[in-house]
Amino acid sequence: MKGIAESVIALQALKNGNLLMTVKKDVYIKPLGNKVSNEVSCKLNQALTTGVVSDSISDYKEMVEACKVSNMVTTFECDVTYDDFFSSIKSILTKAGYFDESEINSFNSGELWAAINCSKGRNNPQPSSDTRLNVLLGNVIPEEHLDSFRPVLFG
Amino acid sequence: MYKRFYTNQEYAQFLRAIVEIKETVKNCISVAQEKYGVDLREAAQFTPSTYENISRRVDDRSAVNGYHYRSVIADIETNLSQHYKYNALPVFTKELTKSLPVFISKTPMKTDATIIDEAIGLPSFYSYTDNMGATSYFNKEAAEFYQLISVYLFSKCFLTDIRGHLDKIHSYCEKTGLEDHLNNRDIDKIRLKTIEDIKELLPNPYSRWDGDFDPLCTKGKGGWSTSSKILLMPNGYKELPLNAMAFAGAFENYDLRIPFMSSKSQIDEVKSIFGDELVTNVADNKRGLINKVYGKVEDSEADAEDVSLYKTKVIYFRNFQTLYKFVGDSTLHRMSFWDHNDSEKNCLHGISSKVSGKKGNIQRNNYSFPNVYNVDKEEQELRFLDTTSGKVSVQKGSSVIPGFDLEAYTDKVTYTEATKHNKVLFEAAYGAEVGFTTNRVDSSEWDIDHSKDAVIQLTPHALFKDRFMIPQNRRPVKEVSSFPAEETRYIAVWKSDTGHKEVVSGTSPKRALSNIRRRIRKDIVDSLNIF
Repeated sequence: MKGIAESVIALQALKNGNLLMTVKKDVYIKPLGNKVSNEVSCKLNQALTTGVVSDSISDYKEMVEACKVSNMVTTFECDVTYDDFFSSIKSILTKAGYFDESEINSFNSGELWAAINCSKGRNNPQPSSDTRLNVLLGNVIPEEHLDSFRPVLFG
Repeated sequence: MYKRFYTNQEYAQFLRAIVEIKETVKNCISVAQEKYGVDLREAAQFTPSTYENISRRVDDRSAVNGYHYRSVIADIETNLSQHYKYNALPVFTKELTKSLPVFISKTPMKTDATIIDEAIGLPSFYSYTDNMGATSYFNKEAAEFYQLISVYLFSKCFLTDIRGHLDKIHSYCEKTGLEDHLNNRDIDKIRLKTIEDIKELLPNPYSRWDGDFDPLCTKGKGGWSTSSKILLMPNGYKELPLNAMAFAGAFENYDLRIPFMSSKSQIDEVKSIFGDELVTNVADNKRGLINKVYGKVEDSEADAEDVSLYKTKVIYFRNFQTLYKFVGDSTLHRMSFWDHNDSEKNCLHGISSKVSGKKGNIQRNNYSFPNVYNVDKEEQELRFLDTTSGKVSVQKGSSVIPGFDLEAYTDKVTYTEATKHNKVLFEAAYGAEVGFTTNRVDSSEWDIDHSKDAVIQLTPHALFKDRFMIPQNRRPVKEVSSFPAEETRYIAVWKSDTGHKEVVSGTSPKRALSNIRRRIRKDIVDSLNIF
């Protein structure tokens, strides 16, 4: 699972019906003590400062993980109700053709969330569902909290 | 800024000089016309070489100084003298023929002009003795006319020069104005200007609040120290923290690549609401500085109690002790989740069996499967973690997820319970299994509906609010001990009858309101002077 959905660590319902989202932000420290080549260091810096741990540094994944020291966790109220959010996910999964409506109605919230993220790792990827999920998240997450997903580098 | 050139004394002098000189030129022309019947405006025909010479000299702007003017005068005089001495031809009119110098003495001598007058039978003469003692005799009328022409030519020359100088001022102003215009749109210049504005606005930007509760102080109690390291933030950050702007002497330490959004109007808005009470409480008994106001929060409960609620952004210095409250230790990174299905634990790894095979296109993602759990009970057991590669220390405590209390446990006898840093830790041995139990509890910050299912992702990164052990290989941690942080908080403002203002913040409107209630109660009790 990649993307901002990976950063979501909890989804709950508020009493006013809205969705309460808890997300984490990775915090990195530059590997000052580690012996790394300039190339690796530069790539790491670039990747971390732009806020996206891209595939180009996947070779250095271990080192990136080693540098990851912390998470900043933020909880905020989304601009969507809990029920509408999962209805949208159902709609995305149905339109993508993964499940029938009868099947998907038997899923609970956790299964829906896992299914839509799980579908990203399937053998025949269809980017439309990924895009739709990102658009959905982009719409429901308040703008000021979009930063809560982006990693930070100290060093 | 450039407009001051148009209003200064020098410019006014130039303008006055132009008026005076134009008057002089006009007088010269009228006198020449009346007295000699000569049109001085045709002077260019009279001495083309002189005029060109003057024009050329005047065009040479670099030579504009007193010496230049004297030099020009000398040029005019020389040329005119030469003309009168050797040029026998009428210059303007026939009248000038009479005015030519008629006698030139090459030898030093002193002669009474009147004798000469009588001797040569001409009405009057003007004598001029140069440095070498040579005396020239000029017809008096011709000498006056010579003076008139000199004044005219010099005035014209001076006028041209002054106009040239004004042209220079105008072009300079135009250029400066253009630069100003561009500078006003340059983000760096605007940034510097805003910094200056903010320095004026803050109580004392250099020393700021001198005390332990200084939100912008990097020194002080709690192990804070000066952060000399560069803080790199991703481009996603929309605002430069206020303290970075007003950071006296250390501003260069901040990465200017951070997009700059803070403005004077933004600060003015903050000041208009909170006045000088810009400092409020933030997490961990720290003080934060209110940096931005998103807007007022409408709340009937707050209105009834005469409390104003605002959604704001607060900045403060955070230290790594704070940060480590959320640390996922590297030891947890070494833990791996079981990768087989365990539907009995209600783990959504089971989703793979449930989903796979349906239409044949969803399969288990071995790359990075989300450890997602659907929590539909008040108390629920979650999946075990397996310490496949070493010891792990897990602390009992609440999770970072509001409304959840996570507790770690292990059913193996290999664990020992130890106390480190005043915290009770499990130290599970290699191969131990660590499980988690969730308890849904009431959150003080959010009104969570426990009747609906919650979805949580159990990752090693975000499990416990309290930190795990500090990794031994984190050398940079000691070097970077504090850093500016920003947080969205809700601020409750209450004004007492005596005019005293209380500013208290909370992570949610509800929390801010409950916080200020306590403060108001304390304030009222204090004012009653009971204790």
